[in-house]
Amino acid sequence: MTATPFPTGKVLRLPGSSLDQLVQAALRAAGDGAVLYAPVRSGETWTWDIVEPAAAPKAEWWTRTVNTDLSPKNAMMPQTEDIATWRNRFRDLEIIEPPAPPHAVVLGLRPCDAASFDILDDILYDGEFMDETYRTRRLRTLLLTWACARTGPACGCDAFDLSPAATAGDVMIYPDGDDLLVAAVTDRGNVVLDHLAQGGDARDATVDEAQQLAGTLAARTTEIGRRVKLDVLPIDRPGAGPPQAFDSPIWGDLAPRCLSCGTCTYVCPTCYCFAVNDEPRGSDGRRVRTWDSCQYKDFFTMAGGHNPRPSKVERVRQRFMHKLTFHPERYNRWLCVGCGRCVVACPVGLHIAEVGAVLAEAMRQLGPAKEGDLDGSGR
Amino acid sequence: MSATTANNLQQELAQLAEAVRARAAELLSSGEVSLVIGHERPWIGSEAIPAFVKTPERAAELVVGPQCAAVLAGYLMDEAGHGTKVAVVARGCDALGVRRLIADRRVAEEDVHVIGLPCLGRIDPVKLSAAAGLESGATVDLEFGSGGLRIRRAAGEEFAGGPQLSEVLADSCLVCDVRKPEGCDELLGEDLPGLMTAATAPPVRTWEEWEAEVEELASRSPDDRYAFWAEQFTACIRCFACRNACPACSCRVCSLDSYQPKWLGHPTELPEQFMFHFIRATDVAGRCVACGECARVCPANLPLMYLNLKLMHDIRSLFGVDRPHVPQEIEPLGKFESDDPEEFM
Repeated sequence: MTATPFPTGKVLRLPGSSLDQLVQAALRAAGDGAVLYAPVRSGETWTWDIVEPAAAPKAEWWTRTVNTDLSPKNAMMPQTEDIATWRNRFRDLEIIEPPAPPHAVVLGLRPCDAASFDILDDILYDGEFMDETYRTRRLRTLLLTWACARTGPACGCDAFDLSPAATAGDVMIYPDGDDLLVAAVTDRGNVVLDHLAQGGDARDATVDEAQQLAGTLAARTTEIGRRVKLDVLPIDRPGAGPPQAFDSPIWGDLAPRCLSCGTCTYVCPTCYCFAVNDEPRGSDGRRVRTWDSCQYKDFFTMAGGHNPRPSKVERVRQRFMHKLTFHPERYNRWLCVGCGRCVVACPVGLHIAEVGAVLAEAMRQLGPAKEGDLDGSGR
Repeated sequence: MSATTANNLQQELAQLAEAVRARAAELLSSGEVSLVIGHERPWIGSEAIPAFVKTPERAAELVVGPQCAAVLAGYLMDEAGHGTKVAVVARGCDALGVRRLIADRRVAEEDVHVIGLPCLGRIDPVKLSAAAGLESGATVDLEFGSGGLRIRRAAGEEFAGGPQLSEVLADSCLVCDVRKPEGCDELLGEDLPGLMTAATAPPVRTWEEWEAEVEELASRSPDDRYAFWAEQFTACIRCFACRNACPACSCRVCSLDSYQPKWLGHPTELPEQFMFHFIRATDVAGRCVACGECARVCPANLPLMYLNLKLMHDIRSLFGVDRPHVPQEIEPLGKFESDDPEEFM
């Protein structure tokens, strides 16, 4: 995979103290009644929610904070979402579709998180199995991506072919001292900059100066990026290993530590598994979609009771091979953006960086796949 | 803490680690156990992680000390009972957890060998980050110095001043009265006077002081209490970390997983969030060993021990149990006496 290209659309320079002007421009561009998703403090954690524009963090927040504890995927896939509700009165069944999701702006998601939506698009937006509610939200949502002024100890975007200033979303925001260089990535991003250019504090800036700054920000590496080399895994190398990896003893060594708590999958911006349940209340009810996790023992249980992934070994292997081999083989992208949330959140230190390193090392020792390897696996 | 004491503690921790490694290797070599569960260094970060040691050679990787995180007892639910014995390197909380599982008939006593060791408490990484200005997930080394902990922020750097250990210990460790573990098959470190003195000294805080925080909360108006917990449970992401890490949450089939009947809906709105936590807390009422593991593993840092403490407080005051966190053969809530309190009838 090649590095994401630098945006060549409009560029403006905005004082960080005038961030609200960018928010207003984006809300106008996003459409009628657009809402704003921004980082919010919930209890002891930073997450994302709909806020009044005045309540969004100021520009300094993004300088101070590496990233939020939870990813912004709830802006596109809420943890709990009604598919439909029903009312049943004297055999007169009424099925009510939920209102369409609002137009929205996501302010200041990091390049890793913005890239996660590109990855989810392959599966849910324009893939074989289009997900209508995801697609509707995606079409109605503008992403304002904030390049990282610094990286944190758990960051590892560069291990997954991204960078602290990878181009993703509709608008890139590059921090430049007290200023922000704002660059349009998509056509919708150009509309945001058109609005931003009308009055206010934005001044003209050139693609060259933004590109130079972006280059400097993107050139930084992380400890995880330096330590995890995934070049033996099958990006651009279809068939280069999963059957061998599938049968590797590493899974039996790693899995006992796992608590099957599912925290990694819930904090992950690229995990998208969900459950659909009916929640009846008397003769009324709702059909609800909620996040679910491949780490739960009942997740794979079939009608009749058969469970193809009965122990932690199969479940841990599934999570990490899905991200590091199955998905890359099919879509030519990692199913991980190196955001580092699972590195921090896993209570027992079993996370994508360690497993990536262990798996890559096992693959190096096994050597290249042999002809016929793809035929025999139980996958 | 004097310089001599600090140096001694540092040396004695190294000696204790050696003793654990030697004993683990011996038990594995002799075939007495097939697995030793302890802690080892993490791939990245500072907290030691659970280690599953099956060969005498790998026993050399075991570590001990205040950066050992996970409570290990719960792993026995998966690892014990397969025909061979499993050893657990146990601090006081690990040992209580093992006794809990044995008392609950979830793990057989003859399947487990408990290697006890004196404990200085576990460092809470959130408190350490706040006290030392570290970023979440940062890798640091710690040692005991004369003025408190000393921190090395990167390999090759010098150790420099840090907070006192007592300032950064986990809440549950501050009140711990089993830093010299009880009920083990063997106890290592009895020849290490510095560690044994520290492990048998009075806790940093009393239970009553910790419980007073909860009683203050309990004395607020219902609306205030609701607002407090509503804020907390809004942050809950409904993973199963608190349940899965708990040595008292040992049901083979959990009501929170059950589809038929379905006791709890999947939506993450407040009614379900409250029910989830009511069920988790009340299902361990009278059996919580106060290890604090639920609070440690919670990705939202919810004050889950407040719920457990409230129930422990009630069991102490209603049933006169002096140390409700220490497992008994039959717990007060597991039996009926004609003079049991009946406040609600």
